[in-house]
Amino acid sequence: MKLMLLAFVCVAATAVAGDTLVGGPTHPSGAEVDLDLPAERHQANMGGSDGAGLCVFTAIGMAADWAHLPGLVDFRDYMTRHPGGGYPEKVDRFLRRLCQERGLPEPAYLQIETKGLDLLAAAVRQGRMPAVTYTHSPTGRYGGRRIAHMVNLVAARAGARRLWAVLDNNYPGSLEWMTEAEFHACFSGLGQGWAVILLEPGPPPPPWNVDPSPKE
Amino acid sequence: MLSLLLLLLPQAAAAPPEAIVRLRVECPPGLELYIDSHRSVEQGLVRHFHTPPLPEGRYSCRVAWRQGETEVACQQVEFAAGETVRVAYPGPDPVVPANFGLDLRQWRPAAKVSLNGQPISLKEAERLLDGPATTGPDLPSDGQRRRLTLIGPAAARQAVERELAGPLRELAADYLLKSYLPNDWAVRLAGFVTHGSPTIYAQEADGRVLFRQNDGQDLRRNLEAVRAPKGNYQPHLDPDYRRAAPPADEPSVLFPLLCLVMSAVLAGWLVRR
Repeated sequence: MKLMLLAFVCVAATAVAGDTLVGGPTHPSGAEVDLDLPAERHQANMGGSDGAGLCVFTAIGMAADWAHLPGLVDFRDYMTRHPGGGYPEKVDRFLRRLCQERGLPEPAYLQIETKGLDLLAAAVRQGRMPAVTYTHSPTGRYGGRRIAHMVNLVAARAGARRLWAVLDNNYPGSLEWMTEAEFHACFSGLGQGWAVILLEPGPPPPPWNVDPSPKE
Repeated sequence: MLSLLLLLLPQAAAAPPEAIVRLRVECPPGLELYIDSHRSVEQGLVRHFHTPPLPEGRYSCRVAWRQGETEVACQQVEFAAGETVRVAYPGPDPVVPANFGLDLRQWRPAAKVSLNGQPISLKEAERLLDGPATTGPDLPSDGQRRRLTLIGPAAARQAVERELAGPLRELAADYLLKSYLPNDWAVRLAGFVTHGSPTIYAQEADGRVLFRQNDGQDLRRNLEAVRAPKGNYQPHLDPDYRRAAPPADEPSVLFPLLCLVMSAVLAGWLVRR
């Protein structure tokens, strides 16, 4: 009986530990990423004119790519001419400035400062890709230390295990999967989480039809 | 910013603005910060305070970090009028994290929501995430709406977009419209046909293709076709399991006719016998 209980605990622990990993768009549990931005479209973080990071603007640029706002996809590159570091008012200011300089209409976007996750999950469910604060990596990236970072949320409550996944612009080409509790700690680790959400919907889903014989 | 008096020396007479002292104090999550026994109500890993303009001279204050009732660390901080002082948390782990682009000096975390820089309510944010401003209570949210996708040269797409915004406006209201060049990753990598002028896809929210046409001609016919009821639907065949008996099929003439024929054949046989 004790052996069975021990085996059960070991299996359960393994199953839970197996939720948190670096991988691709499909988690080993079968959960699929909600917002599948192809790896060829991932952007790497860069520095501003003073060397400070541009993770905020890199994440917003990838969200713009997802939303098909081509005038904003290079937001990171635009910001390399300015000092780095982002905060909500700076996002307002430079988004407006970039749109004005390029003669673009300003896209509708939300900035949310919250500890809760429901709005983020709602955004993902409606096909929108939030840029979210991120204060540590549950898979051990960054040597396990605390970080001040912004990444893209690409899965929320996905699959039977209700997993979350982020696209980290310091690690383009891979996704980091985690439990909801882990994501909550990462998102709000600075006391409050901050998210930027472009309201333009994402791309259409891949086409399929019932009749297997192709038209072309 | 929270303005506090941190002085041990007599109060100031009028002093120039540049004599303001600014403190930048680190505070790990889970701890409370006290400046000369005044509890900080600010949030965040780095908290900012300033004094009124102070007369020339040196000053000091006591900074303490508490977990509940327990003081876990403290530091006596000395400064001159006009100085900006950074007070690091003296604990073993660095409070200020490795930073990849968040300006923690400028970001003051506080629960709030804004739309393009203008404050809005949480409820309004929820509504906006669901879909466009015209969404009513009976309309599906964006994640559930049908998709209309135009793929092709800009001029061809724009002609169709004008039609969808004009004479086909009512039919187009059922759809989320997106428009792409043929080499855009969103259509190139997902298997869409892209050589039309333009290619027009209508899809259910899950991707099932309702129709596809490779030009902009007579789009109305396709839009109306997928909107109209299907010809093979007979409402009386819908099950309703509340009824005692399952619903009867439409009475058939075949069975009675068959019985009649069989009876006639049998009668004929019997007569012959």
